[in-house]
Amino acid sequence: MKLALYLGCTIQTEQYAYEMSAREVLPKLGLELVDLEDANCCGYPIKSINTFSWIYLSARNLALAEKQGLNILALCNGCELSLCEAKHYLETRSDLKDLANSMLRPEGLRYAGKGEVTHVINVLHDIVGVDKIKKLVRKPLKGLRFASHYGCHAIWTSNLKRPDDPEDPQKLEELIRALGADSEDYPERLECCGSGLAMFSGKTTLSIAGSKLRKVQEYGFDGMITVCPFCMKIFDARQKAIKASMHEFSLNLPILYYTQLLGLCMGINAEKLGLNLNLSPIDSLLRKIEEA
Amino acid sequence: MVVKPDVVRLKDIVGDQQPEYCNQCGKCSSGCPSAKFLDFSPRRIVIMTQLDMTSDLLKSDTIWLCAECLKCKERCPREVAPYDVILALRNLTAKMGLTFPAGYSQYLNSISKRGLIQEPQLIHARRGERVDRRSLGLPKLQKPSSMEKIAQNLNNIIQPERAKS
Repeated sequence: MKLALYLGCTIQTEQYAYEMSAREVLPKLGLELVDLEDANCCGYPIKSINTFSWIYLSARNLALAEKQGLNILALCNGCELSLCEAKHYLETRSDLKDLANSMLRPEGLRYAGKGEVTHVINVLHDIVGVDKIKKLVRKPLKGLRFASHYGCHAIWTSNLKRPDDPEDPQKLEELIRALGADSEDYPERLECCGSGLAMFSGKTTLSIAGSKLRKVQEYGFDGMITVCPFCMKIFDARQKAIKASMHEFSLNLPILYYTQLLGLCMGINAEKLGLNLNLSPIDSLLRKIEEA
Repeated sequence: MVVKPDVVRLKDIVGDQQPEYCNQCGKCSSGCPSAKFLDFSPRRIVIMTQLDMTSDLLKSDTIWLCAECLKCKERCPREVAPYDVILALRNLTAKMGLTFPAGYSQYLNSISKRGLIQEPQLIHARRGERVDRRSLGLPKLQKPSSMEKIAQNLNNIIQPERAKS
């Protein structure tokens, strides 16, 4: 299957490990990825000051993919929902569609609504499939337990097509189990990382993120697995700050992208998966995986 | 200050907000990750909007403390979409020339200049070394070819909102 890879801002400008691991792993699962050339920000970051600016920016990306005749794989949770939601408004509000198209016309672009937007969970679980992933595992993760973290936008809101159930998603757990590890439910499983308000109050974000990480560590998970670059940015890149904000708790929780974990199990070299870029303490986990 | 919400109506702002349908069940507030940090819970935000008390909301920090998780919109039994109400209030803040977090203006400026919210960053790896796209072997990022048109369009869409943060 051929898909237009849309990476958005956060992955391409700082969350490089996600891009590296996706570029390594996905083609080996039989997916042909073509970078969506000429693309821009999905618009989500400025939605709060003007919603039409977001619709316009998303419409431009959707129109670019349509021109290439490809469906979009948006690797970022934020971009994926943003494109899907913009599509929803473009399809239900002809005034917005006409206005966006009038702005795209001078570039020779047009949004007609022919393309689809898909999430990495859909691609891995529904297109590639758990059975195929199982077959590609060379180093199963026996005896390890991982907490799943979807990221809110992968499951909410269900009025738009989401990759999994809004109240009891299971696909990420199934994908983790396909690698030989365990991934059971925990009460805070669907809790938010708080990254959405980091710009306004970083302290509040650290508090929201910290309460989830603390529980995950107390439950004895070997690490947390996510598919969202914003959640990663908080749980992984900001873990030192989260730890410093906690009282009498020594936070020490490895955080990995699912594509990194999958790549390791497929026998891909850690450096190629960007595993030197995770800022949470993953070294002892990497040794455990090596010995598993 | 006196705010006139009728200058820009919530309904004119893209979203699914329908505060008039709220029956104050409180599901939105019970699930909200930010609730304990807010002056006004999502449920109160909605009733204040119903009662035209938006000026108090626009003056408070509350609308900027939303984590945008969308749980309230998902779980609302009346399809009120509290998140969309907050989003509309944020848009209203910007449209009326009131102060909003500076980061949004930075994003807007960067998107207008190079299509993304920031330039590719030089980041620290876990052992402290500095790496960038090139040293990691990732392809060079190109600006959109019609950057000027994009900037012009954004400028036309967002006029009063610019540089008011």
